Amino acid sequence: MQREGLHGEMRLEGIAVSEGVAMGRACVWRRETPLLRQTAGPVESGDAEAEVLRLEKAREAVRKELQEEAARLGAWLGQAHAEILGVQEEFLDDPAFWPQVVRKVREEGLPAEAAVQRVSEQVAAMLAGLDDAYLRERAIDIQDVVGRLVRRLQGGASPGALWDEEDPGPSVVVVDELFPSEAARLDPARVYGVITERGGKTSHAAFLLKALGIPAVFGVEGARSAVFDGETVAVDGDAGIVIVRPSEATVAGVARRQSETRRLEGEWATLREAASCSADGRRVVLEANISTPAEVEMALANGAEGVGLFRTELFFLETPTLPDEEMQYAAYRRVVEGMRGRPVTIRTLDVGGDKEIPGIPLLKEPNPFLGHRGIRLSLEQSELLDAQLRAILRASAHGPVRVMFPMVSGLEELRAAKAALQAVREALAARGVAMADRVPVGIMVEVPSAAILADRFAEEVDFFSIGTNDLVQYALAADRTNEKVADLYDPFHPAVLRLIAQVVEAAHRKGIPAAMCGDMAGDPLATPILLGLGLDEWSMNSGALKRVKPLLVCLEYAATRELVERVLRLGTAAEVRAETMAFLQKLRRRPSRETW
Amino acid sequence: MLSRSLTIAHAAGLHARPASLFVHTASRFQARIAVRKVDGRQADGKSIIGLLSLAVRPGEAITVEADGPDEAEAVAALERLVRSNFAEAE
Repeated sequence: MQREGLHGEMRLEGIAVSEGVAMGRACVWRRETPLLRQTAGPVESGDAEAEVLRLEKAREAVRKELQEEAARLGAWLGQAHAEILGVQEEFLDDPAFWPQVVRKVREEGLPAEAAVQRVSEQVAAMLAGLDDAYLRERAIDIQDVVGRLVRRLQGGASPGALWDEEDPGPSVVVVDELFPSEAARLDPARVYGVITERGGKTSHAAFLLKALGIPAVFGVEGARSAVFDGETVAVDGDAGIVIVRPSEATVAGVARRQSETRRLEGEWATLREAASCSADGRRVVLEANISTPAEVEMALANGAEGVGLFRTELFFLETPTLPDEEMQYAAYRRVVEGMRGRPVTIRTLDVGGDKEIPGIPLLKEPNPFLGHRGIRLSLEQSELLDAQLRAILRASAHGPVRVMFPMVSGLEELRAAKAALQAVREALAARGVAMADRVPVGIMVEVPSAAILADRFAEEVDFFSIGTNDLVQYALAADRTNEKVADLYDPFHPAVLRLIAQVVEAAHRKGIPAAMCGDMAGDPLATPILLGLGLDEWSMNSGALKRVKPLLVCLEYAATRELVERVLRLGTAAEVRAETMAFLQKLRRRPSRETW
Repeated sequence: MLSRSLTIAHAAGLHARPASLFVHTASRFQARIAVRKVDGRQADGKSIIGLLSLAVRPGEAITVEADGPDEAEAVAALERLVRSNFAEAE
């Protein structure tokens, strides 16, 4: 790393891990390595058990510290971020870690601190030596938890705020490697940016910085020798560039980009709360797809007006036996209460095909996607279905709930499922159990037969939700995970669009809403088509709301209807994409992004 | 002792969430659980460190061995977990 005189600006490159630009006074962290308690020699054999006891006490203190920190992070940034610390807790119990530490004390007479460090160094070296970025990042998690253990062993307390000095002003932290525990304690009001020498995109620290909105560039070799404490540095977390001692022009560029970012964020902050409708006033409902109760926070943070798809497979998978009604009720209730009055659409178990769960023996099928899956399996496993329906109905006492059946191919299945729901409702009512008077019932439209027969289905359901992932693969007979035919899988295929158009039309003729919960709903290229088709409810992964809504509010329903008329007459997916792209280009007023 | 050969189809290999789910599932059983790769390297199925160190990549085969009173249930549960592609397919 060469310094090019003390005046010119210097550019360093690294990995962009957390977006945004920032500028501030460099604050170069020099780490103090924890001092090991020096002992003259090995622990006397009589003292080994005392050392083991010390270790156990330290482990429990760290466990408690991690749990408290996780609770704080969870409340602040959301559950997914709290789970980062769960990994560290797992290490505390790992059979490749803890028993080895204890063995080192008992058999080799090492003092507790040395034993912890010796074993962790071995593990970290092993992981770091693997040719795999993800595993190298886990070595950092181990170092982090080891640091906590050593601090406890030396009588230290919980770590406090990272910033003890008096207001240092806006700072950019420059560090060799950022531990997740440090990232979690950074104050975004003081730390404007982060530069590290090691670490990458998949590190837990990077994940936390993103959540905190602190721009960061990782993996800048030699950063701590290239940057002097107190110098001005700019961090471009979009491009992965660091500028030391920026020129006036660069400073001005940073300021412009920061104000542009603030403008867009301000727009999104307003937009997020605003009603979702097209520029000419066509209202649509934007919702989130979730798989666990923990995702509710993310959905709300992105302005979701409801949960359009709550997949229930995950808890079934995470328990060795089938989750009982109580477990399911607790989870559904958490989601319903978490959404605070916004509707939650719960899909009954959709297993079979490629998805299996413990506790349900599935026969090997030559053609699982055309086999015993979704509602077909639920109707056969009636105890399972009944328990799930009871849990759903009970959750309906806490807020608006809708129930949705997957993989319905014929009216018989729908009728059987509705009969099961009615029977369960009557049994609960007889016991005086609280539930909503009305729980709307819908189907996933993902089998072509259901799309084709949508007019008949519309007479017997309260809503449709189009599952494009399966509908596309069944309509086009192409498995998107099969490389040889993945090219054929395309939601923009005119045959798929005609099926969707037919479903929406059938719904509207009966006055029921048409929703979509497949990946297509979150694809901005599909936004004008779906608006023009008249889709009422769009449910997508929370992150996609940020991409779809800003586009939606710029579109005119009238113009997209004309677009849809044109694309429905086209013959290939490529033509549909080209036509839609041209439509969007005419509309986009995209300011050219500034780069350095 | 029971063993079963399985292929890891998950895009992350046996890392991240899949590895964590594997360890969680394995830890619920009393049986000793080992995971072996084709190259003969072996790890404790209840150790996240052990599993990560195997660096099982997408499409690679592993052998799961369980030994203990509930070995049949353990192998069955792990097989379902792996065959469900860690429940992420949608």
